[in-house]
Order: sequence, then structure tokens, then C-alpha cells
Amino acid sequence: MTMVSFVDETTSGERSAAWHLEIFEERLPLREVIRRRVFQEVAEHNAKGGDVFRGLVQPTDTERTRGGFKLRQPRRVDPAEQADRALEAFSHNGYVVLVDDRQVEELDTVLELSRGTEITFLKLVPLVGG
Amino acid sequence: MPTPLDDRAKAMAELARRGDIESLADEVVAYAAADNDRGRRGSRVANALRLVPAGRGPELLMALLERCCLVTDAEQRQVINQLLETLVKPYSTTGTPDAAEVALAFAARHTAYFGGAEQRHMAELLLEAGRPVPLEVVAMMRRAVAHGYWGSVAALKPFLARLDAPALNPGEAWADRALTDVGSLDPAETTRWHALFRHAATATSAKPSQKWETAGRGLLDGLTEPGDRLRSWLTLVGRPRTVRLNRTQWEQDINESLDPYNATPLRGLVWLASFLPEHPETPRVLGALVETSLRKVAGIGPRSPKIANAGVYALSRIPSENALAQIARLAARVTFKGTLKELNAALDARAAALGLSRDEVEELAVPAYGLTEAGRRVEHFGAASATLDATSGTVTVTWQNSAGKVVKSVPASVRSEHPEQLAEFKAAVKDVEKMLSAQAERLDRQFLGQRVWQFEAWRSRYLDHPLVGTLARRLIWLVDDVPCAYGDGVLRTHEDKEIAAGESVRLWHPIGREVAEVLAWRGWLEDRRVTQPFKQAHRELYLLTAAEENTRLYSNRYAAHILRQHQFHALAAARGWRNRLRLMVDDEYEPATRELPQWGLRAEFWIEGIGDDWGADTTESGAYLRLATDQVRFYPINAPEHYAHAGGGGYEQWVHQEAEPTEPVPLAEVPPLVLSEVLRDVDLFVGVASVGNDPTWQDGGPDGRFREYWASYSFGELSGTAQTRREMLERLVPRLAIAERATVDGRFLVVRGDLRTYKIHLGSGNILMSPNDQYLCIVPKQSTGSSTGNVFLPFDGDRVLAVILSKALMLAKDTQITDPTITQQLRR
Repeated sequence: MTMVSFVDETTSGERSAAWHLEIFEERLPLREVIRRRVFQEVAEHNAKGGDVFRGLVQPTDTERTRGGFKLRQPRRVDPAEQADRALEAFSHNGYVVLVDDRQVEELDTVLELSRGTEITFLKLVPLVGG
Repeated sequence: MPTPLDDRAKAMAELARRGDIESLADEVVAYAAADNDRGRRGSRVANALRLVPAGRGPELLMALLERCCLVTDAEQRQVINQLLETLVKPYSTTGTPDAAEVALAFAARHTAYFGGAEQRHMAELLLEAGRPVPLEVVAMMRRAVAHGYWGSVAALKPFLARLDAPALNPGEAWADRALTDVGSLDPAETTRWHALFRHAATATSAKPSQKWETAGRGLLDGLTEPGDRLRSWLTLVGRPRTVRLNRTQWEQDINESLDPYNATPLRGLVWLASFLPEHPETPRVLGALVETSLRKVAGIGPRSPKIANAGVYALSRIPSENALAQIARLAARVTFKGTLKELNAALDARAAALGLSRDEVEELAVPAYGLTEAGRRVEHFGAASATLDATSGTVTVTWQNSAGKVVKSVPASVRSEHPEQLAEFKAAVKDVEKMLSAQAERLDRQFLGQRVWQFEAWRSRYLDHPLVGTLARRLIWLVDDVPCAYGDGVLRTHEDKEIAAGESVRLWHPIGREVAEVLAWRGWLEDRRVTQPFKQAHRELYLLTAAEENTRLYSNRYAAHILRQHQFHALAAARGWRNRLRLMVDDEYEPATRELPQWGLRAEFWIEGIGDDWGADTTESGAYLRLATDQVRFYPINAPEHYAHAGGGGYEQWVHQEAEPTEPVPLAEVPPLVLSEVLRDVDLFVGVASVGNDPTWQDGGPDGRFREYWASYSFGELSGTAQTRREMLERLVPRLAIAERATVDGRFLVVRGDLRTYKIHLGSGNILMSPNDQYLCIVPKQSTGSSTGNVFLPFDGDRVLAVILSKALMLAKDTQITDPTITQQLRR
């Protein structure tokens, strides 16, 4: 079993407090790592309640605010749906994932996880032509 | 040949004959939107409308008026208003009570309406016929008097005095509720409340007189639970009007503002609320009232400074800690000059009464809101409990049910058995959130405040303060000139040496510190994953440049930019600058000014309105849309003011004929910290408000006049912020998959794609393509919130950097881009 930490990094160099996730396998594809992260954060939200979801991707029917995504009223967020959105966002360059300072580009890339592996999520901006 | 408009007139005539009022009114509104010769065909429509069956005229009038109140386009509204006037005219001249009733009901749906004498005459017709004058009509007449409209005052004032109408105007949520609430009480109590309202309506001075207060206290004593009622009404102030009013040609939109008559009784009620026994909710209600009264409405400005100031006065009368806390919070928040002055006066008065300095009062005014150790509060509701945690910068609440299990929402037992305590707790959570952001802003301003604290006082008011501590423990301080920060329960240096105590404490600023020290602190904070409440370790520095040594008395660093005036104005106020919106009129204006009393200086940013085409270069009300920027200068704080004409022509000091104007302070003599912080503000103004940020201005805006400016802004030299950005990229790019293809080169991040090579400007994020420096337009997608690509990370950080990175990743794989609006540009 290994303990990996997740860090959300912004483009001003600030980093959120890391949080940790216990993972039993030592090798996992990136796809699965993202899924675990999302399931964990949704579980925490559902346990804690409140009308603001602070997670990787925006749930349906919510409004984006400074502190997170505001639900119209407190409700459970669906982890499977969030995970699908997160993977979809990844494939559209919604964010990039760095594993110990190396970007991983493919969802199927198998990561070697060890104690202290740091997985960084770096947010990007959706673009269109003008 | 019949024109489409002829057809429309025919269709209207048919609807009128059939008596289909609703469809007819819809058709008229649609016609007014399509009519492009400003109502000259109005007579044809008016003729059609006359075909409405006898007796249904009033119905049509009101149906059309109802729709007109909702029309936002000024020209369309003008067409409908002209029709309305021809429709209402017969009723206002017939001279029967029935007709008068219709005409007055129509007039009542306006802020005020022409002809006070005629209105009085019609109202008297009603009274003679034994019919009441509706309160809505009285309300309109009162607004006309309050506003001093069209000589109506003399005609209406004595008439209004004769009527025995309730002293509040209906049409606003708070007044409607007050009238309904009071109407449902037993008759004696109702009478006592109306007497109180009448007294409130005499609140015409800036502050209550002794006599007014005594009479008010007497009236309050006769009431049961006046506090709860007053508070519940005051929370409704500022809601949109319950009855929308119609706007005539030159009127601003009153529907988003406050009733000009009601402002007086409202002021009275606000004063009265402060005479009541203390209640924890009162300061909160008053604080919110001050904020909502200062909200700006286009064309009007702050909704009601009068009410805001009454709120401040009421807060200053309440001796509780909560009231002082609201004043301190508002003083850090409010930017409207008049109210800010009142707030400062209230704080100074409190300081004088306590024998403390103004700064100390502000510090002592920060309430703990029941937080115990720095940033936590546990509230018990029977066996269940809630934990409020503010330690990391955001406020979170965790609930435990009576079995001690963490639950996602408020436990049912708490809802049913402790509703009041729950409401109070929720309000306290909101208070904590608001106070934290106000305190972060206050601390940010202390860089220029030059505050020095005595260690023990600082320890209790900052480091160990339950609320402020959550901020102070994430900042770097100088204890006896040794930089330190809070980690693992103690103060320590970046080498982790513990600091137990000291004499004096100051806020650390990177200017004048060794580069190694600054970097060490950045590393220390990163290692401990500390997010600072505002930029301190990563604060941008602005040092005197060689060019500024040459110009000596002024900085040209931010000259010759084109800014959006309204955005600039709002930013300037938020950063403590004094500024006035420049109108295209014959008037003189001071430059944007920041006063720095602690340094005996004032900073000036010279700006002028730009353009001379009313409408294209101004708003509807004549304010310039854009400003041109010039020098930044420093003067002794008491130097004579500078003035320049609205449209430019240079600033001059107004001094007596024989006197010499005061010279600016040479930049080299301005303390580096002051220079840096002031230029940081100006960089922010230019960086945010410049039209250069707007990719749709590639054509140079109106008539292409600003093309050269736009091009140089978009690809010119880097600002301080962009330099920081460059350092970030140098650190970040090697970690990315595109490391092989991307390099930072001068002002650009150069990305090698398969089709072309791209230069992304680090200042603006704009892109030039090789080989010919062709502009490539890619912009952030305006997400409506529903798309799946919406990713959230806890900080928004530097949006331009996020844009640059996103563009780089996209362009490194330029053969995979599918968006046709981009590919067309690449292959052109």
C-alpha cells in the first residue's frame, strides 16, 4: 500500500494544501488515478454536505463561484458522473497532470506509485478561435 | 404599394375592433421595436387604437403601460410613451371622477408626472365624489415633491398635507411589508405604528435632534417587539421595486434604485432602530443596509448615500462590539467618499473615547465571533454539533449528529429543536467570511501604513487572535527586524530557528531584502504548502528605472495607454485612490490621487478623457468610455491641487498669482517601498483596464484610431507582472510534455508546432506566427458553466498565464486542432 499526495497548482505558483490518498496497488493507469481522486473528493463532499462543491470538475446545474461550484441546494454529487467529466476534461486539455514533475499525457499510461509520489493538477483554459 | 408598416397598422386596427386588448398591446410593442422613423407614423397607430370598443380604453392604456415599464431600449420606449400620451390625454381633460381615476392611475406608474396643479384638480374631483385617492397616486405626488419636479411642489405640497395617508410609499418590498404587517395588528397598535411612521417621515436633517430622538423613543415605548419588525423590514431594503415604474425620455431607471420620498421615512426608521435595546442582529442588518444602499445603478450612481450614512450613524450610536466591528469592516470595504468619511469619523470618535489610536481601534474592533483557538469554533446544539474551520483561508462547516457521526447536512434534530440558534450560527459563519476578506484587505494596506506593533499587543491582536490569526499565521513578519513566520505552533525563521519574543513587529515586504532571503521564504512557504491571504512573498517589485532617473520628476512607465474609464474608476476606488468619472463637459478634474499621509506624500496618476464623439466615445449619460494615461508623479501631501480640463490640455496647479507652484518630489527621493506599491497599483489599472487586453480590438476600435496602441500593448515590453510570469514559465515549461518544443525567449514563449512556429507574448498572451508575425486570434471560451471542460482548482491565480499555457499546449500539436475558426487562420 502506498500513500500518494495530490496537489492542485495554479498558474501563479500557489499550491493548495496537499491531500493524501491511500492506494493499494503500486501500478495504476492514470485514468484510474483520476477516477480515485474524484471518487474520494465526491465522497468527502457527500459526507460533509453543504451547497458548495470543491472538486476538480464542475457538476451539472451548478454555478461557479470563488470558493467552488455552488449547488442550487445542498445535494449529493454523483461520483461516477464526476469521474466521467474529469476524464473528458482531461482529453480536452482542461487540465494537465504532472507526476513528480513529469507531465503524463495519456490516460492509459501506467504510473509507478511509491510512497510520497506527488500528483499535480494544473488548470488550463478552454480556447476558441476569434 | 402598402409598406410592411401599413400592414401592421391594419392588423392593429383589426385587433382593436375585435377588442383583443392583450394581443393589441403586444403588437404595439413589436411595432415600436420595428419602427425606424421614430414614431412619425404614430398617428396611424393612434388611429387604429381609437377603434377599441368604448369603455375598454383604460384597459388598453394600462396593458400598454405595463409593457412599456419592461422595455429597455430607449427609442422603442419613446415611441410607446408618445402613444401612451395620446391615449391618456382624453382622461386627463374630461373632468369627470371616472376619467380622473384613470389618468391618475396612469400617472402613478411614473417616478413623477407632469402637471402638479392638474393632478391636484383631478384628485380633488375624486375626493368630492367620495372616492379615496389611491396610495399609489399619493406616492407619485410625494416623489414629485421630493424631486422638486416641474413646479409641482407648490401645487401638491399643501394638498398632500391635507390627506391622511400612511407615511410610507408602497411599491418597495420593505415598505409593502411594513404596511401589510402593521395593517394586520389590532387597531390601537396599528395606530401607534402609523404614528411612528409619521415621525420617521420627519427625519429631514442629517442627524436626529435631541427633540426628535426623545419623541421617537416615546413612540417606540408604546410598541410591542418593535425591534424584530424594524429589522425584518430593513433587510428588505434594496430589493427590486415590487411595482415597476415607467421611464420617460430623460429619466434613469428608478426600478433598480430607491424611492426618493421613502428615503426620508427610511432614514427615520434606521435611526429608531439604534435607539432600541441591543440585539446581535441589529448591527448586521445595518451593515448590510449600508452596503446595499451604496450599490451603483447605471446613470444614477450609488443608490442612496443618504440611507448609507443613516446606517453608519445608527451603527455609531450602538455601543456594542458588534456594531464597532461592522463599522471597521465597512471602513475597509466602502469606496464611496461621503460614506467613507462618516465611517472614518465614527472610528475616530470611538478611538478618542477609548483613548486609543485609530489603528488600534480597528484592530480591537475585530470580533472573534465565538472562534476559540485561531480559526475554529465548535457549536453544540444539544448532542449534535457543528465545527467551523477558518484556518486555511476558506471557511468550512462540518456537522456531527447526536450519535457523533459526521453528516453531510444540518441534522434534523438541530433544525427542529434549535432553529434560532441555527439561524444565529449560520449568520455568524457569513460574518466570519466577510470579516476575513475585509481584514485581508486591511492588512494588505498596512504595507504603506508603516505600522509598528509592540510585540505582546501584536501577539494578542494578530497572531493569536481567533479570527485575524488565520491570516497572520500565513504571513511573514519582522520581529525586531528578524523575518519570521508561524509554523508548527511557533514563530520561526526560514532556517526554522524559533523566535520566542521580541520588542517590535512589522509586516515584511520583499523590497530592500536580499534576493536569497525572498527566495528562501518562497521555498519555505511552498514546502509547508502555505497559501498567503494576499501576495507577500511573491509580491511584484517596481524599482526606479534608468528612464525614470532621466525624467527625474515623473514616471512615464504607464503613459500613453488607453483605459476603459469605468473599469479603471472602480479599480482605483478599491485600491484607495481618489478619482472622479470624467464627463464630456466643460469641467475641471483632478488627477487620480492616492494620499499617503504616513509619508507626507500624495501620488498622482495623470489621465484625461479621450475622443470627441458623443455616443461613440461616451455613455448615454456623457461619461467618457475611455481615458488616455500620462505620467505618475509624487507631490508633498499639502501641495496645491492639480486640475485639468475633462478633455485634456494638461494639469495645472491653482495657486495665487504671485505664488510659485509646488514642484513634484523627485522619484529618487520617494521611498522605494512607496514607489513600488504605487506603481504596482498603476500597473494593475493598466493591466486590467487597458483596451489592449481585448482581442476584438485588433482593428483598433472605433474608426481604427487605437490600432497602433493596441499593437504595441499586445506585443510590447513586459510589465512587472509579466516578468513574474516569465519566471514561472521558466520553472514550469521543463516539466511539461512540450518541453522539447517550447522555450522562453525575451518577451515571448516560443512554441514550435508542425505547421508553424508561434510566439506567445508574455504580457498579453497574444500570438504572432512565423514567418511573417501574422496575428493569430485565439480567445478563452466563454463558458456558460454547462460544458464538461470546466475544471476548478482552489485558486484562480494568474489567468493570463493559464491562457498562455493553454495556448502553448494547443499549438504544440497544431495539426490536431479541429476548431475551424483557428485552423482557417493557420492555413491562410
